[in-house]
Amino acid sequence: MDSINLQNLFYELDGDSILRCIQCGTCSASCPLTDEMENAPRELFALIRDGNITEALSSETPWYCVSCYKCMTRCPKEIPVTEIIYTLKQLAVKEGYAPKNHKTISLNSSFSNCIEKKGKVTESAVMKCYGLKHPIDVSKKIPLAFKMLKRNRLEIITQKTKNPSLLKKMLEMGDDK
Amino acid sequence: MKYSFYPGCAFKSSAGYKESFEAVINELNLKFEEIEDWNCCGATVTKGVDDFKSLVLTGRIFAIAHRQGYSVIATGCNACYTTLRKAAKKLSEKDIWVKVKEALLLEELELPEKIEIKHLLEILADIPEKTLSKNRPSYINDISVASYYGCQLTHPFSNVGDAEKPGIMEDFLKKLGFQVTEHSAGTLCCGASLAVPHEDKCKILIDRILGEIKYRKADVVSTICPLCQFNLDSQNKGIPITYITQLTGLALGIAPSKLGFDKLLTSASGIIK
Ligand code: SF4
Ligand code: SF4
Repeated sequence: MDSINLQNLFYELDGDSILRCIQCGTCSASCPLTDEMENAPRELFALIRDGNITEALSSETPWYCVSCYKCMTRCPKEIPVTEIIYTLKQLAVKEGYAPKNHKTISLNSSFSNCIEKKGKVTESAVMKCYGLKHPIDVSKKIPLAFKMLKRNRLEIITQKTKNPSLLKKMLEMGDDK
Repeated sequence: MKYSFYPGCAFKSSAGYKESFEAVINELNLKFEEIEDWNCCGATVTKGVDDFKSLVLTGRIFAIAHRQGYSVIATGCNACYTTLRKAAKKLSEKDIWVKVKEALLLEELELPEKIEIKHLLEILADIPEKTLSKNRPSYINDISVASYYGCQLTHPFSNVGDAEKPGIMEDFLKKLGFQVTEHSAGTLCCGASLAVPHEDKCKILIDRILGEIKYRKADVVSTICPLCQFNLDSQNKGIPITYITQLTGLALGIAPSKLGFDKLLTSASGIIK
C-alpha cells in the first residue's frame, strides 16, 4: 500500500482525531517512556500529518508505549493518544513496517502465542518462549525466579482453558477471508 | 450482593493477593463467584494485534459471567480492569457487538448487551466503617501507608475518581484505621510488562515512585494490581509492597499467617505486631 492510501486507512481507523492536534507536547511530556522514544507521540502525529506515515509505522516509539494513558488523560484536545498508538501497532504489523528486532514485539508474540495455545497466560511459559530469542534477558531474571520458587510462587504447570483450540477458532473468525 | 469474579492470569501466583482476598471476603461475608473456565483478557497485548481478537477474548468472559447469572464483574487487576471496561464500551457499538456475538456462538455462549466492570477496591471502599473496626488491633493506628494505584486504574475508561489523584484508596485506608502518607507518585507508571525486555528503563520509573514514597516516610505501600506489586517489590527498595487486601486483613484482626505475607520479596514483618 502506498503512503497516501496508508494515511487514509489510518484516518479511517479513527486516526483522524490527530487532525485536531495543536502540537502542544503535553502527551510527550507526560509520557514515562519519552526518553526511549525516537519520536514521542507529538512528533509521531506531526510525521503522519506531513505524509510520512511509513516513518511513523517503522518507528520504535509505539513499542515503548505501556498504555499508561497519561497522554490521553491530559491531552487538551481530547485526542485518544493511547488508542491511536494501538492502531499504529496494528497497522505496523499488518503492513509489515514494524521494526524487526524490537524486544517488546518478541515479548508480545510470546504472550499471544500462549493465549492461542492455552487460552490463559502463565508467566513461566511466556518467559520460556521469549527466552528462545532473548536468552540474556531471561537469564538476568534467574535470581528473581529462585526467590519466587522459594516463596512457592513460580508456576511450573501452565494454566489453560478447557478447550483452547475452540477459542483459537473463534479468534480467527475475524481474519481476512 | 454477589459478584462475578475475574481473577486474571497473574492473581494466583501473586504475592499473597489470593490468600488475603479469600481471608478478607470470608471474614466480611462478601460473596464472589469465579468465572468458570475464564480465559486471558489479552491485556495490553492483543489490543495491539487486532481489535476483533481482543473483543472475542473479553466477550467470552462477559458471556460466561452472564450465563452464571451476573451483570457485574469484579477484578483485582488494573490491566484486566482497563481491558474489560474498554471492551464493554466498545461492545456497546451494535455492529461490533453482532460480530463478536456470532463468534461466541461457536461455543454456544450468549454475549450480553451490557455488563458492568468494577475493581475490587471499589467494592471494598463501599464497606461501612463500623463493619471494619470491630476486631482492629491497636497497632494499626501507628502504621503509615502510601497508596499506589498504578497508572491503569484511573485512565479515561475508569470510574474511580480523579485521574491524577483518585483518593478512594486513602479514604478506605483511613476507614481501616491506618495513617495515610500523602505523596504525588500514586498514579505514576511502574513500567508494567516492559520490565522484562527493558528492565533498566523500568528501574528509573520505580525509583521515581519509591524514592518519593520513602522520602515521605511511609512504613508500607498498598497496591491493587499484581503487576504493579511485582514490579515495585522485585526492585527491593527496603519498603514492603503489600496488597490492599493484606492490609485490610491485618486491620480486621485476621492472623497474618493467613494473609500470604510470606510470599512478599521485601519482608513486611517490621509492620506486623
Ligand atoms: S497532548 Fe494532544 S494536542 Fe497536545 S501534542 Fe499531544 S496529541 Fe497533540
Ligand atoms: S500511554 Fe503510551 S504514549 Fe501515552 S504516556 Fe503512556 S506510555 Fe506514553
